[in-house]
Amino acid sequence: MAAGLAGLLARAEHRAAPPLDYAVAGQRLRVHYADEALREVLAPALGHLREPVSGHAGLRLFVLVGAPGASAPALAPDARRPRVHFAEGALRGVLYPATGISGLLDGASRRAAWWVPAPERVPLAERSGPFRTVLGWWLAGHGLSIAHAAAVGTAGGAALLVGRGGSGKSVTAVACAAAGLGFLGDDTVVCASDPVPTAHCLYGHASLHAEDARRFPGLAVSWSGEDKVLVDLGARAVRALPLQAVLVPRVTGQPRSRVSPISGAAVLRALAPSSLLNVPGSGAPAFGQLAALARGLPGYRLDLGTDLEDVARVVASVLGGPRP
Amino acid sequence: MARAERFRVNAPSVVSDLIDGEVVVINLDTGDYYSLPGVACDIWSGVRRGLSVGRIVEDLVGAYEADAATIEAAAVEFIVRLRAEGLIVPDDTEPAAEPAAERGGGVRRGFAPPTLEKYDDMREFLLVDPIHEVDVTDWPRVRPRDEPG
Repeated sequence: MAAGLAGLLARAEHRAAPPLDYAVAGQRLRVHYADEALREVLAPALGHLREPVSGHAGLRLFVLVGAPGASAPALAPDARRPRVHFAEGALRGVLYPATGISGLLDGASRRAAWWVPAPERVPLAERSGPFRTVLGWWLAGHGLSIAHAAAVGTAGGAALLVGRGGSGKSVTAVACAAAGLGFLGDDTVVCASDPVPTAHCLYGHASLHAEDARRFPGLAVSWSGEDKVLVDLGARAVRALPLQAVLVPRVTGQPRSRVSPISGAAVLRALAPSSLLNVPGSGAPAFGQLAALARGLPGYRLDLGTDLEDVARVVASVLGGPRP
Repeated sequence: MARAERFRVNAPSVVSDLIDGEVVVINLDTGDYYSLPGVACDIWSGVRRGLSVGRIVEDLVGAYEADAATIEAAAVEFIVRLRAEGLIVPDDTEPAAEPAAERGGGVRRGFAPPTLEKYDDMREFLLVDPIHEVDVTDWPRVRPRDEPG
């Protein structure tokens, strides 16, 4: 199998288009979009990380229209499974049968490929967070983990906002960004636990339900789906900040927001399950990193009020320091 | 259950961490996750250390105020539950010599039967693809059976 997959990557490299270079959590990423329409759809979410790569890239990622094909039997659709993934040596692969999106990482040659069936059918979640799985695998090799979380910060540091969909992460992150705090992500954040807990911004877009987006008239919508929209917060993005706290939001319906301490175990329960399931195969090393964050950072329940300016004030009060 | 029987954590499917006196356990195959406080935390720690069921019970008897039969029945029932959840599996490897149980060294705590708090809200997250299997515009949700795909 490895030979077939390595051949796939070699063919992808042969078709490589001129690259766009990025700095991702201190690592150098070079992305070759083989299709102009695909680049227009997927590149904006990483636009705030554009930076020329000097020397060798840490990862060369080839983004292609189509599918891996018969030379990758390990990535054949399986109707019984919502996703297919494998790991064999330095090779890792994933297929999402519902959309036909698939990815492959060869850690040994530092190459990866990402196939999308059709640019016009890219789901909103892929527009706002492209290549997440292969980037997660690649970054794990550098001691970094991908958290299913939002993050915002002041000059005093960043707060990680964790919880499942609907808990208020995105609205909180966008409210804080609109109030002048730095933006590090609304759904995916790259985290380091060593030497100090740190949040790195990966994607510069936030996705909101349309009715929530209307609460932020000062922010421009960059793409609209049926009931969700993308907001481009790249101009408000901060590359990285030391983490100061983990907040677990919940919607209360009350006007004012407030925070109250919670245990590290409660933080870990809110942070780890969806983060680990988001990047298949991440397993024990990623869990260890997330546990280190939960153990080393103060955790708070964030009862979200309806006053969005108050939300930002309360988050900023936890962090201290002026807004960046 | 034989007192000499030993179990191990069902790795790599199961990961766990002790934090603030509570063990958080995640089953990556099912998406279920668990909280093990108090006595349950002690039993999990014993399993992780490779102790036999009998030795885990002895340690509990030394640490908690309750009669041995009560503690043993509760511990065995809990271990059976851990196994049924797929969190631990029998360990048939050659056991290392176990140190003798420590008794009477500290203040014994009040005994409450071990509890396994289970959270299954990630099942939907796992059963749909958390990144892509959506109706092209929404965060993951399970598509109703009668809804066209």
